[in-house]
Amino acid sequence: MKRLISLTRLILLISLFHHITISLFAEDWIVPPDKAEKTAPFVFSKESVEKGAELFVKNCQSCHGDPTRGNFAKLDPTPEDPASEKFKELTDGEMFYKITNGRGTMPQFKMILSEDDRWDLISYIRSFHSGYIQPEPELTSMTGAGERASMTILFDSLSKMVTISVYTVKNDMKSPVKGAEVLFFVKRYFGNLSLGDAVRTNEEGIISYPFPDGIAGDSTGQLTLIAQLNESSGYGNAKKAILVPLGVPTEWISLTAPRAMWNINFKAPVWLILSYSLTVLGVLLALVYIMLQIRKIFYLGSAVDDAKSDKP
Amino acid sequence: MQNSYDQVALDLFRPVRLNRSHLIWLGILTIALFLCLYAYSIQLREGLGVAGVRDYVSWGMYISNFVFFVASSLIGMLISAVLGLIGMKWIRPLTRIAEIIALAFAAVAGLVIISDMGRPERLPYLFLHGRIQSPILWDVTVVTTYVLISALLLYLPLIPDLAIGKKILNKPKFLVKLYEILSVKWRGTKAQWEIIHRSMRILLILIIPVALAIHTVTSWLFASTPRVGWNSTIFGPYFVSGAFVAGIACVIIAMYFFRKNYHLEKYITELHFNNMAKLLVLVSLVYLYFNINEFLVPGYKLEHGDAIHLKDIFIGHNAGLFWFAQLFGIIIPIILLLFRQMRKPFPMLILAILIFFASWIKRYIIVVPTQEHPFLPIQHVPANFLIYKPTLIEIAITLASFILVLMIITVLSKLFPVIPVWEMQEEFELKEKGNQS
Ligand code: HEC
Repeated sequence: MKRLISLTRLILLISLFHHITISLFAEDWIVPPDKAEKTAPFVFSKESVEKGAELFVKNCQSCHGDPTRGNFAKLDPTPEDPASEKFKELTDGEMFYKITNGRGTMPQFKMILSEDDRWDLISYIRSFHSGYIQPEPELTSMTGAGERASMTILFDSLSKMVTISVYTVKNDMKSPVKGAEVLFFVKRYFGNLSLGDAVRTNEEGIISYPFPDGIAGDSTGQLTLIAQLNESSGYGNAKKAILVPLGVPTEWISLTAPRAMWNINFKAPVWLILSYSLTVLGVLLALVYIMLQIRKIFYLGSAVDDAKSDKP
Repeated sequence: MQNSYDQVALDLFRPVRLNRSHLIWLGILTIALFLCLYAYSIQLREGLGVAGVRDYVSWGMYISNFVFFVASSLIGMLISAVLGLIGMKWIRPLTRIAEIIALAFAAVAGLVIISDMGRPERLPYLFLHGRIQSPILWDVTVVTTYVLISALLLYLPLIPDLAIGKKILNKPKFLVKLYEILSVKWRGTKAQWEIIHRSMRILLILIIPVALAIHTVTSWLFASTPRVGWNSTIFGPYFVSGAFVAGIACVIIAMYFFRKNYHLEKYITELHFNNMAKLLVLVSLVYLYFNINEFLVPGYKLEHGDAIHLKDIFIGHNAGLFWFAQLFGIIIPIILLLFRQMRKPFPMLILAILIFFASWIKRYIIVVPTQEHPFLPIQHVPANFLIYKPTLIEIAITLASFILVLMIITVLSKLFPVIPVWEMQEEFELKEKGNQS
């Protein structure tokens, strides 16, 4: 009895603690002022709303429900309806920050969605806010002033070097871009593996990228390297991919290739098939034996009867 | 006066006949069954939505009932096999009762599962498309096997009795004919006796692992998931020990009624009740031990999900049912049965009925509450989906399964003597020999 009392006490304590942590989390979600002032790099349009709608269904609907319907998931804190006042009151920059960084159950979309994607989402959410007027789009800073840069990526198999060059084209004239930030990724099954901080181009608009050691490739060491301009440096988000033999050769065995408990019937583990079949067979044989014994009782009885009737 | 040898046979075959009150009882059962089958016809037409099961709690009363039925059927193994094989002589008059109960519950358990299927006509898919890795397939295999073995265990020791009964009974005609056929020309020769003894031994040994398997595999239906409250390594023995408690309660209830209605006081004595009480205390203590393990260990660690689950069943909205099951199913019987006066037939009947109910509730507590706390949010459903409430239709369909069990027990106990005649005769012979020398 004492045990039960102390157990109940423990449970009460735990649930109290649970409440405290939850209410701590329910505090206001404050966005740093400089981030809150951020504005979109383009003017919201019908296209951006449509793109955002598509992204919303894939990434957000499971928790936030259908905007205006209020059918968001019952989580604590609640995700809320994107058409609600709570969302409307946020600045574009605040919304961007929250989607980018997440908090608690609200996932972080920094690595999952590109900046443009996130802005498309915001333009979609804004389409439910009557009276919303988009603030002046942020004119991309730095020299390029919104100019979109292009990029080439080359691999030299002798020196095993990856070379990136970033340039802008104006009147058929190529001019290198200095100080553009390039992010590197390796393509993986579910999303891309980030290879660390952005690297800046030099005076000639060139990066000689030292590919890190120990990254797994396919069976011959091939992997897809992706280079992408970092949007925040103001030259757009050009992206290039290249197949390079720089990975560690790795045999990737599909999880459903070998026999396994979770596989289809025909790929069940051998030990399981054997033990199941042998057990069932053994029991069945025993039962058949018993049936035969019952038949034998019958024959023995008949023999007794025959012997009697033979003896007149 | 006839010698006691023949008297035994006369006594035990006396209830084997069709009388008025018996037919009325069967009639009532049949009408009740049809009412419940009407409820099932609604479920067939409208789908499982007429039952209280929803997205969150998808296993409700039917599955709890299934677990209870499998549990109750285990008693055949305990009484006939375990006690019989270790040479407990006093248990002999109870073996057939236990076997009848086992067969009835095991056979109906299969039907109970079908009642939980929205598309029962797809039952063959289970065999056509079932995966050998799935505990559900193992469960179907092992329950079917258990029904077969139980039927054989009931039938084999009946063969000599049928031959005796054939001579004693002169009506009804169909029964005499049935005895004639089923007794497979039993002439009581030495060779025939040897076959019976050997086959019985094989079956009694075989039924122990099979019975353990049916309830262990049933527990794996739960324990092989990561769900709080099911994700337990001791679920097998926890279920098996609980099954013995439920099964013994069933046997005690049946003993009481057969003894009273069939006037078998000479064969089912107070000694039998006394011994069954001690057996009940023993298995209840084992069950209590597993209960302490099942709740103390997660209760000590109180991991997130466990904390929610335990709070719900200890002090939350399922607490009433939980404590009813624990108190009346385990703790109170253990304490009361320590007193000799409580080990008399009538007090034991009352206790057994309480344990029977508590055991059913216990299965419900094991199956349902944890599903009311899903790990992931399920969207776009009404809030009342979260809490399970059985519907009237569901309750009627569940009642139908109990009515079926009663019908099977009634019919079997009317067609055949509920106490093995030749074993009793053997005993009386031995006693007489003892008296003469
Ligand atoms: C796993 C569930 C989940 C998913 C998926 C999700 N959210 Fe959220 N979201 C939440 C929760 C919960 C909150 C509230 C967080 C808090 O207040 O701590 C939230 C808050 C927000 C907020 C801030 C609202 C406010 O009132 O401050 C925004 C904006 C938002 N989500 C946008 C999105 C967008 C856009 C997506 C899709 C890219 C998304 N969310 C996907 C659960 C989710």
